[in-house]
Amino acid sequence: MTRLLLDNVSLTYPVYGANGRSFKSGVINMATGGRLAKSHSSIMVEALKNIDLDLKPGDRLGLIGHNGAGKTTLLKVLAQIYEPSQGRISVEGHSNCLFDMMMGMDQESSGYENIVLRGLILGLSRREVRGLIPDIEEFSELGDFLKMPIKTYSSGMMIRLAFAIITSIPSEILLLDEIMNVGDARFMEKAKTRMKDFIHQADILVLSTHEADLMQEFCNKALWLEHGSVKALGSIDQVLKEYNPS
Amino acid sequence: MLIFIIAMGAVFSRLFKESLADYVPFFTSGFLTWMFISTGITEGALIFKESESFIKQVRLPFNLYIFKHLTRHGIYLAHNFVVYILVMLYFRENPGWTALWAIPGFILLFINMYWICLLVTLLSTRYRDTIPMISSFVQIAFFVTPISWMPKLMGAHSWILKVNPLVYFLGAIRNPLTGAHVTLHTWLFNIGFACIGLFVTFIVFAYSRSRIAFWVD
Repeated sequence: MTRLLLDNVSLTYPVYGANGRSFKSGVINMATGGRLAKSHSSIMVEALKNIDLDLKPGDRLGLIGHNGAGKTTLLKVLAQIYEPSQGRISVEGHSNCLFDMMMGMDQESSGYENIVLRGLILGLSRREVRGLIPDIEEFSELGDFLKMPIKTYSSGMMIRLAFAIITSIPSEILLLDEIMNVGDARFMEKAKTRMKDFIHQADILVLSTHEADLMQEFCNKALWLEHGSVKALGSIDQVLKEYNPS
Repeated sequence: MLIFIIAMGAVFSRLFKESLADYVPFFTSGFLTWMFISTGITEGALIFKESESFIKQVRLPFNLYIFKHLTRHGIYLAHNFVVYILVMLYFRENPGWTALWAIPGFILLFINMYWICLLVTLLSTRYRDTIPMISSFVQIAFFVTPISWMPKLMGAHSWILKVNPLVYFLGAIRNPLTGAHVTLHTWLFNIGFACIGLFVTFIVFAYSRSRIAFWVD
């Protein structure tokens, strides 16, 4: 069964100044006990504090909070890109996180090669990727352009391809940082329907967005983050009411 | 590569008073191995930095980036290997079946390069100023290693040849390629170096793995 569990997770990470990045001053510091090169070159940032979360199939969680509250960091912990410094995370099911649509696209390769490349990065086998190609061909409407290197594409075409690839790969856990906007007006309508289908096929959704109406459309639960800790967790209406009392 | 070898061969065989037929195959086999090692290490320092967009966005095993890097440089090596074959044909030198002993030599070199690249890239991702340090270190290594000069010029028992691991890496590959045997001592050193290196690197990696994602930016 798909499940996403955070047990008392905290994340502290170092942020280095220019000096903290230097091997030379590191060695001098060690040798002289910090007398020569005095610098507080690395600061520890407490990005997340004691977060408990248990998501099961059907849960659609929206993350709200001000800028810098830790929404994206939490998504990255859920995607297992950041390992928690304390606590435990357990993920059952295949998770897919979308932070940057263009991730891993190779400018020199053709559209078809990029489909394969992206599919492999997301953990599919070559055969599985090949099965997705007709769907991507149809949706992206790129036709013979798919045989050309993607550096010849316009930015709109590039996004259309990326969007078509991403939304063709189903995943059990979907982590989204903002809902994407795609291309011209006609394509946007089409993309919206596809995005909805894509979101609905996932067992678990975690969505971080600033737009309250989008969140209300897609989510049934909400988590309010403030300075890295949970301020409120509950049903979407209840949390949004607390967040926006007016 | 071919032009470089012809030029070096013409000048250095004269300088060291060696015949072209002795010097050029020696230099070619040593130099193409050296190219793999040196570009592998200097560019190896940038592996994680260059994969930043992947590391920060998708969970993939870190080994993948190292293997990608080694594969790329392995392909370069295979390309340069054509020059060695041309040189051997031109001088009508035939190393015979002994040359096949270079295969285990290459395998050991890849294993050693694996941990060296991982260690170097961990170090340089954490400490940015080590990138130029590593490349100047590699440059110095070229001159203290018998690649352009023959080891016998130094005298067989020189300590410079004994403490330099590159001498053993090269020995396991260059000797068979030029028709000479590899000493048991060289094999044992390569294997021992790989074991110790892998052990140390895995400890460092285990300690730093969770922080790589923060180090890359």
